[in-house]
Amino acid sequence: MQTELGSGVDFYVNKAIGSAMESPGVEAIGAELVEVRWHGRGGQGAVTGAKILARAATKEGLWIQAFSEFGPERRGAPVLAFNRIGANEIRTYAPVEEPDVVVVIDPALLERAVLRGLKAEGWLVVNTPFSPRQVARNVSFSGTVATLDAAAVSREASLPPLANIPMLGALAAATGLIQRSALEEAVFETFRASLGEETARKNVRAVNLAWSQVRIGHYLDPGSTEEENECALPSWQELEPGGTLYQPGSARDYLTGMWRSSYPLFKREECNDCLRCWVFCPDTSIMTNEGKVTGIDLQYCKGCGVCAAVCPRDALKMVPEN
Amino acid sequence: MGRSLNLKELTRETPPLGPGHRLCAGCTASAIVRLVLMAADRPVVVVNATGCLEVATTVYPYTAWNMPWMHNAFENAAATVSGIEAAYRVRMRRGELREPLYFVAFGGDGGTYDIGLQSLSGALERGHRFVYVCYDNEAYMNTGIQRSSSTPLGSWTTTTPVGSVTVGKSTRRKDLTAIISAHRIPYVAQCAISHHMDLMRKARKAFDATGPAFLNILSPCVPGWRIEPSDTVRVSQMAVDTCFWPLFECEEGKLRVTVQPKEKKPVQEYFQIQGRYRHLLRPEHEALVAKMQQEVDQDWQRLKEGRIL
Amino acid sequence: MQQETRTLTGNEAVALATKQLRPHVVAAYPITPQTGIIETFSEYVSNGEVDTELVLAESEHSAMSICVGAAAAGSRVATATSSQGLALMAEIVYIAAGMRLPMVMAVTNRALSGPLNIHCDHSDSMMVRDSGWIQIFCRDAQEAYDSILIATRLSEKQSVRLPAMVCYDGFFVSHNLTPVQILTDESVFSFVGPFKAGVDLLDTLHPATMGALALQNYYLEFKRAQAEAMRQALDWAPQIQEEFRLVSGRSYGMFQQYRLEDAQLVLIALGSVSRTAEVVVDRLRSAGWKVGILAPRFYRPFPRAELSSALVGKRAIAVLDRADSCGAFTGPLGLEVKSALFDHGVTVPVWNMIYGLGGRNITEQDIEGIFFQLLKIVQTGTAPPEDADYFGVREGPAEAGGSQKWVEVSTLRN
Ligand code: SF4
Ligand code: SF4
Repeated sequence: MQTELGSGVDFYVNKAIGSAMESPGVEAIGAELVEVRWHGRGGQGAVTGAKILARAATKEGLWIQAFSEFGPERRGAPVLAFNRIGANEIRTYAPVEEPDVVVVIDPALLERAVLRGLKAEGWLVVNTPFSPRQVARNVSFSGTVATLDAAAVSREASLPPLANIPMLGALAAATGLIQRSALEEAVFETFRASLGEETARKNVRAVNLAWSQVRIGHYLDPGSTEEENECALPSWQELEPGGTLYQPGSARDYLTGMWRSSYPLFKREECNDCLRCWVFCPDTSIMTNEGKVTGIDLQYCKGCGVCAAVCPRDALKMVPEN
Repeated sequence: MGRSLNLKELTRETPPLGPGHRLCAGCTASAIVRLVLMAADRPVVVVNATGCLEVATTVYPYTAWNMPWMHNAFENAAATVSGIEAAYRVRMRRGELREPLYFVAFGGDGGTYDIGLQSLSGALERGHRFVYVCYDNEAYMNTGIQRSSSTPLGSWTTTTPVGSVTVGKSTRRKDLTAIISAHRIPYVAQCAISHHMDLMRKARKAFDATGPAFLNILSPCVPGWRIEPSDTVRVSQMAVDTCFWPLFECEEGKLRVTVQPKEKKPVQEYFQIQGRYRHLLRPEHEALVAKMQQEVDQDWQRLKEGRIL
Repeated sequence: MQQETRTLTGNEAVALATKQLRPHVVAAYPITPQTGIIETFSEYVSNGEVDTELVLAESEHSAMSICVGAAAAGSRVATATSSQGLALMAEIVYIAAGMRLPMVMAVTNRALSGPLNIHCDHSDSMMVRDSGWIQIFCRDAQEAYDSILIATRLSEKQSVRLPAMVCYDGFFVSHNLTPVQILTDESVFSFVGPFKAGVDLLDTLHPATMGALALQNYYLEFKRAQAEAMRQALDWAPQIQEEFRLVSGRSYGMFQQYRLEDAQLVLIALGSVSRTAEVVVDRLRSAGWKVGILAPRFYRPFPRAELSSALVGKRAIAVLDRADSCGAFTGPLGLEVKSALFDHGVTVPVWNMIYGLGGRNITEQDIEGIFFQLLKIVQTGTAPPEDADYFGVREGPAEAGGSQKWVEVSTLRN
């Protein structure tokens, strides 16, 4: 065990990899049934991650479930995937309410809400260049945190920047849920079938890199997490019969700006007010006044880049968030 | 007739479909909806078939719609709007309503070409006064990219994979616009999101028609067509430039091409900017591409001669 | 109580009642044995006797979809169907109820395919019994006429707002010409009242969004609210039927009973067969038998408590089902009755019979036989079979060499 990043603070412990590796399998985190929740966005492979984890666990003779939550959201919207892993037959088909492990494969999704239901002594596995301690502090989580810079891993493995496979490696390495060999086999088989042997090998390498680069830590003295404010939904007596809604445009309370990973930078001086951006923006996020463009409504802008693509001038340019 | 289609003036109005909906980043469906509805100079009542547009814009307790809107089921948008329009007519007659209204039904290609075709045909034949808009993204996108009868030949979908035996969809798409025009309704047109003024002018004509009207609007889909979110308008433009998706209207039976590409491009240029066609660029599919080019050329020739079939 | 007696088929009576509702929109697709309703109504429209938009849809699925659209657009809506037609519209039948849209639909009960059959049974209505529609089963044309009016009132009640089905037997009632007492147009309209919309999609000043997507966090609450609406229907039906009695002189309960009070042997059945059974009951009563009939009128909401207390102290019950619930080994009415009795602690032998499927005849003699069986159950103390019997079904292998039973009458003469 080592102390935290030379900060001199000794209440936070950075664990060596695989405190769990000595006894791989489900007992590794001291439970008969381990429940995992994946947070990603449509298109980032959270569901694939969960499926491969399930295949790997099967190879170890464990009982598994892999499923995901389907919402109305489209590509780019947050999605959830789930695993259950147990030594014995799993008979519950209820949703996972109190996961033991939460995996966040999109760094932009890291906020306190991802902790919902996560056991205080559970695991939080996050795709981020930040340290476990920074994450723990950021979301005030008292359990164990594992972090991996998945983008760096993908680069090193010459893969497109998909975080799911590196994060799968991080998850397995940190929690000791699955042995490395089983995971490698499952990854290899999955990718060989769909994308050929070369890609499969690169992905196996990503698992390996993740295994060695994941950082793990927890508080010496587990503190208490803050209570979340569950906002109360209306009872059945309070609903309008048949679900008729009488607040036109109320979706404006649902901010889609969080889907964005880049945003359009608007230069007023370049704009000729042709309004092409206003016509094509799918999210009515081009703000105007008296027929002139005044800026971007970042509450809703999903960062699609359509406005910049259709702008005949240099008035709109996409730049990465932060 | 009615108010002008001046964009600057339209920016002052509440958008028919507001933000906070959950369509994909870059999705063209919402802009199509806005362009069509902004062309109306009366209040509009909207019916929406089950599909991406419906699901992503009305997640209870939210609605992104700023006008009366109703969803009933997948295959019955045209029947549902028939019922609404019938109610409107009798309530006007009985003096219970005064305000003249327009009626629009939106459906994807699944809800229009396939499961909803019977209901649409019935409503057109009965002569209800409404505009049916098909936002055509050429596959079942709401369930995750499965082929529809609008999916073009050779296109990849999850149910027409590119395998060692079959390569994408093996049959030609259905010519829905022609089928609809065979109902001899007063107005039928094909539009594309990239040509927004053409689209709005056609929507206006559709509203003004003396009976049912139909707009088939190409709606590029980011995940389904395997394109970048920022590319949707460019891909639409290319569909028109290659005449893969020609723009025309059929007014009281008279066919007219409304957008003539300056220089008609080969279909390869359309294929190469979309992941769903990428395999067609491999040399072994040359014959298939040639066949598709030939079909496009023939269709284009026919349209230029004023024949829809 | 100005009334006129006319000779009408069940279908004509229903068409007439529908006209008297002054509906804004009627949408339908013809199907045997419902067709007569639509034909008669078309004549009313064609002759300007009613100002209704009659939408002749290209299928029942569209007919129901049109009804849903029209009801959402603030109008009184009526339709009619049968059998396959109801099956085809089933998807939208659920949606009409889920969206809490009042409307009335006549269902001329007919068997479901396959095999194809055009004759009476109750399988069609039973198929959608859980859809959230009020279901009233009528015994004759008079009840069908009256029930269209009652169902409309109940359906449009603000605390109910559920669509309602008026079910009556195909051919036996739909095509049978009988005298029917008809109320004046004015008294009907003052009973049902002008339509008051619960929602109005055409109100552009208050734009409504109808039919939104309700996910895991809301769907359950909507279904719970729907169940409550059904309970409200149960509470309001007696009052509305009492009001109807004041207008028409005809009184209806949640179920109809015939010489039930002191009866020991009871027959329970939906529809026209319960009228036929009255003749048998009279005959047996004059021979000193204590027999009676209970004919549920409301199948949804099902009057569980009231029905159970009416059956306290009975010695044996036969429940006749003109539909099967395959795999339950009991018909739908049988299931309902047994469950109600169980919940209310009423212990009495219940013999369930599936009868009359696909229009198979059931005669007075047959019904008499059923009462005999009930008597036997009481006398011998044997429990009735747990599983439903199939009344009148041909059993066993076909008789070999039927010719040996043939008797030449001529050879006996001399
Ligand atoms: S990137 Fe541009 S077009 Fe896309 S949502 Fe944002 S403002 Fe609209
Ligand atoms: S497209 Fe470009 S030039 Fe045109 S209004 Fe928008 S920002 Fe201005």
